[in-house]
Parts: sequence; C-alpha cells; structure tokens
Amino acid sequence: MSEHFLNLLQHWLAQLQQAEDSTDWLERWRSTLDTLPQPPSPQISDLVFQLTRQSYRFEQLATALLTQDEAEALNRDSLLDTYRQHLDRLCNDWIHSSCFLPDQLALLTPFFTTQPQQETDLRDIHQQLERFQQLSSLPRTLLHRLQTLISSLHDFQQAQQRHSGQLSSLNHQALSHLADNLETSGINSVDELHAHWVDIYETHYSEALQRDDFNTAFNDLLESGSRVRLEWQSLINHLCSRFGLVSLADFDELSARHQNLQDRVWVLEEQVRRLSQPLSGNNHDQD
Amino acid sequence: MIRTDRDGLRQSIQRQREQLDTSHALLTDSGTHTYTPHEVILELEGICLRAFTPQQPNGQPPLLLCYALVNRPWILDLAPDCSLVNALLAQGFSVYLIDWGSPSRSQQHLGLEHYIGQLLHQCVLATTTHANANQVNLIGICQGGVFSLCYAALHPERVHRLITLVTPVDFHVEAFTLSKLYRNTNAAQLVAAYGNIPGELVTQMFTALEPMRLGQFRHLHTHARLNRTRRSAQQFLLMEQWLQDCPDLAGKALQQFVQIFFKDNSLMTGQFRLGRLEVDVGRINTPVLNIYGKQDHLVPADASCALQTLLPAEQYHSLGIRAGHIGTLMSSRALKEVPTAIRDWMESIG
Repeated sequence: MSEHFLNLLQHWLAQLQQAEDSTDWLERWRSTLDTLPQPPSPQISDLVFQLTRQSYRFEQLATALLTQDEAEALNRDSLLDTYRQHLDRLCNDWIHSSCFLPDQLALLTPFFTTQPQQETDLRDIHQQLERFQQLSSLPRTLLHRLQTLISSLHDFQQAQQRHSGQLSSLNHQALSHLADNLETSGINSVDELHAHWVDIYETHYSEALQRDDFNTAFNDLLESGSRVRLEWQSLINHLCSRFGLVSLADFDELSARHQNLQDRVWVLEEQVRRLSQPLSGNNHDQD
Repeated sequence: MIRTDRDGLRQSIQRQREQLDTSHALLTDSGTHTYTPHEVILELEGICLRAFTPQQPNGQPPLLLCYALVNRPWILDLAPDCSLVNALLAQGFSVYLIDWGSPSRSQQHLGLEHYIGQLLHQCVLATTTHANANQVNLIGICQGGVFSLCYAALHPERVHRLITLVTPVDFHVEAFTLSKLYRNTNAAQLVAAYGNIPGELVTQMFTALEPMRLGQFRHLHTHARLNRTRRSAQQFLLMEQWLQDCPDLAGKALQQFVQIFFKDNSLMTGQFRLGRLEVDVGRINTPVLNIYGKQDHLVPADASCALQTLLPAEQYHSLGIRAGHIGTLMSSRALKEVPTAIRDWMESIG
C-alpha cells in the first residue's frame, strides 16, 4: 500500500479541501501524512484514512444537525433524513470496501453501474460477445469463460444490492427507534447522541443476525464475490495454458502434491520411530 | 419535534475539533511492536517459537502458549506494561510462545493434522528440550485452545497441565454469532477462490459481528484516546495495528476447522477425525483450567464453559473474568487476575 495509496489519500484530502472550507485540523492531518515514516506501514496508512474519513463525515453530520437547529428543536423527519444519508454512505463504504473482487476487476468498479444490470442487459452483453466471437477468431472456450465471468459479476451486483437493501431496512428501523427515544430525551451532545445510536443500532443488528433472510443475503454476497474471483482466475488460467505459461492452477496442483508427499514422509517417519523404539529399549514416546 | 441543546452540540463539536487538532502529531510517533527480550528456539515451515526466561524460575514445567491462526500472538506481549507474557514471567514461569506466521500460497494445503500433529508437536518437543523437561504446561488461546485440547487428547503424556483461554468448545450455543456466520459459509468455494483466506476478509467477518461498535464508533472516539497520555496513545495505536494485522489463513485448515468444529461441533461429540488423526477427548487425563470472558461477544461464556461436560468433575476447573474476548487476555484486570490464578491453581493441584 503504500506510495500509491498515500498519493491517492493526499489527492483525496486535497479534493476535500477544495470542496469545503478548509479547517485547521484537516490541514494539520494532511501535514501528518507528509511526516509519516516512508513508506508508512499499511496499518498507519489505514488508520489515518479511517480517522480522517470518519471524522470528516461525522462532522458533516453534526454540522447538518446544527443548521437544522435554528429553532432549538429538530423536526423528526429532518433528523431521520440527515442521519439516513450519513448511514447510507457508511453502508456503501462497507459493501464496496470488501475485498471480494480481484484487484484488476476492482479497479473497474467505478465504471460499473450502481444498479445491477437487468436480465435483458445481460442477455445483450452475451449476444454482443457471441457476435464478436463469430467475427473474430476468439476461441469458443474463451467466449464461454467470458460469459460465465460476466454472469458471475451480474450475480455479485445483485447480491450487493440485496445486502445493501437489508442494511438499509435495518437502518430505517433503528433510526425510527432512535427518533422515538430522542423525542423523550432530546439531544444534548454529539458524543451522547452517537453512543445512544450505536447501542440502538447494535441491538437491531444482532436481532437481524438471528434472521435467516439477513444471513442469506450476507452469505450470498460472500459466495457470489468468491465466485467472481474463481471465474476470473479460471479465465487467467485458461489464457496461461493457451500461451504455454505456468498457471496458478498448475502451481496449486504442484503445491498439493508436495504437501501430500510431505505428509507421507511424516507418516513413514512415525512408523520408523515406532519400530525402532523396541530395539532401543525406550518405552517413552520420543517422537 | 426533538429538543436540542444547541450550546451542548456546539461545544461537543468544538471538542472534537480540538482533539483532532492535537492528536495528529501522535500518529507520527506511534512506534512499532517489539517483543520482550527472548530467544528464537525453533523456526519451521514459517512458524517461530520464542522462549522467554524468568528472572526467578518457579520450578514448574515450561508454559507453552498456543495462539490462534487468526491474528498475531504479539497481543500477548503488546507493551512492557501490557503483556500476559511479562505477567507470567513475573510469576516465575518459563514462557514459550508459538507464532504460526503467514502461510504462503504453496502452503494452502496445510491441514489441521499438520498444524496440530506436526507443527504443534515440534513446538512441544523444542520447548521440553530447551527447558530440559519432560512435559509442558500448555495454554491454548481461542482457536489455539481447540488445538491444545486436540493435542492433549493425541499426546496426553506430553501435557502436564492444560489451560484453555477464551476457547470455544460448544460451537452451537445460541449466542455464538460468529459460529452462525461461518456455518452458513461455503468454505470450499472460498478456498477454491482464494487459496489461502485473506486476513482482511477474516477481519471483515469479525467486524460484521458488531459493525457500528467495532468500526465507526471506535474510530470516532480515537481522538479522545490519542489525547490522554503518550503511553496510552502508543498502546492504542499498537492495538490498532494488531487489529488490522491478521495473517492469511491456510485454505485447507480453515475449511477443515469450519467443517469439523463450526458445522459438526465435533468437540462435543468427543471423538472425531482430523485428517488421518483420530481425536478422543476422553484421553485428556490432565487437570484443565478453563478461563473465559464473562462479557466475551466473540466466544460466549456458554460456548467455553461447555468444556465441563466433556471432563470428569474433578479434572475441570474454571475462572470467569469480567471482560470481553481481548480484555480477558490483556486488560489490566486480566493481567492482575489470570497469571496469579494460573500459579495458584498449579500449586494447589500439585
């Protein structure tokens, strides 16, 4: 991570500053990046990234709350709207920060549509590929692998959407609960508000974790993500073998054989040891 | 309508700003982790066994700490004043710590039988040789506790006393959410897709247990922690580094662990196979001290305490610590109670 990540982060912070009124803390945190040991450890880079992003977002939320607070009271719907926007961003972060996709495909995600493609779109893509295959010398096996990969990407997008929907519904329930409570207690500090929110959210979340539909959506995300990775690797392996290169599949197969041999040696060594014990008159397990 | 304290809100935002303003400098001084002085006595297939020597040995067999494959063992020796290793040394124990390392792609076929039957066994042998002893006192932590139970059943002659720390035994108790998540996971496909399971993905699974509390909430309150004292800030940052420092997991071992323990709940059946090894929990013949966190959200107390149903009453002893999963290993309360309890227990049973 590193240099590329650091550059990305600096660029991102610069954009933030241009977009918003510059604040002291933001400048100082940016200067912190310049003073980090080079190259910074991934953990430190991640932490800086998390801190700046979270703090900036939460400050946005608090500021939005304050601007609505001219009458020293908040409209319930306004509060829910503001918070929902905040939460949608957080959920979006979580869904898209998952390391499911291969790096090469992850780089292309900004070009993907945010809504999953419809079945008809998918059929169109497959037909276009078919036509391209007929007009070129693209092998049919390669065409099939490409089609499978695209289908798996489609499934992954749908799974993302389903899980996102589950989280959104969870946010809605937890927010209504929060607003009910706040109508009684009011809001006195951002820290209290946030702590209260976390308690309520986690209660709803732990209830959701007991539900089959919620767990199914989460597992679909994991499974469809790993399916994309699998299909992508299968495509690369196929290309490698066509060009006479050693593929990852070849490497894995060799590794498995090596491990089997190693385990076999272990078994044989144990047998030799057991046989030699009576000869040496040693009753203890010497291993 | 919802009443708001406008001044209170402004003040808390101002406080956040000030904390952000002053905390940035501490990040540049976070330092990196270093272990308490030790000797590396075994390096094998990427694993490493560290030996820590006490100033005043208590004459007990060596204590071998078997950590989980998930996360790194340096949480047990985070900083000089926040170290289970140091606290055990202070009780006069010779301490040995296994670091399982990070499996390379070619090691994705390492199975549990290899980890437990070969690597853990080699660590036990290296420990007894180094300490000039016949047996070890084995301490298994979390998944390492499961390994230790299996090992004590496979090689009872090598284990003088067994201590399980925050160790899951009954994987099907109601409150064991992590187990539910893993039970529904298609581990075979994950392994086929990744080879070794990326540590980042494992960390995400843990965070998915309490996403708001473990994610956003922790980071929003970081500035306050960074602003307390330099020591507190450094400790906090080391902890942050540790939380993100999860090694990849060997594909085959993970797949076996999910099937044998999460899905089949094999420890509770008493007898099961680990590859070519046959494990019979009934062969464990040493006294066992089971230490668990009363507020452990990762491995609930019930999941851990189920161990008592597998052992004769006179063989089982337990200690509940008022802490969560990690807190049971390194909170100030745990560091005060756990090492003393281990020493007292060993002395009391002779």
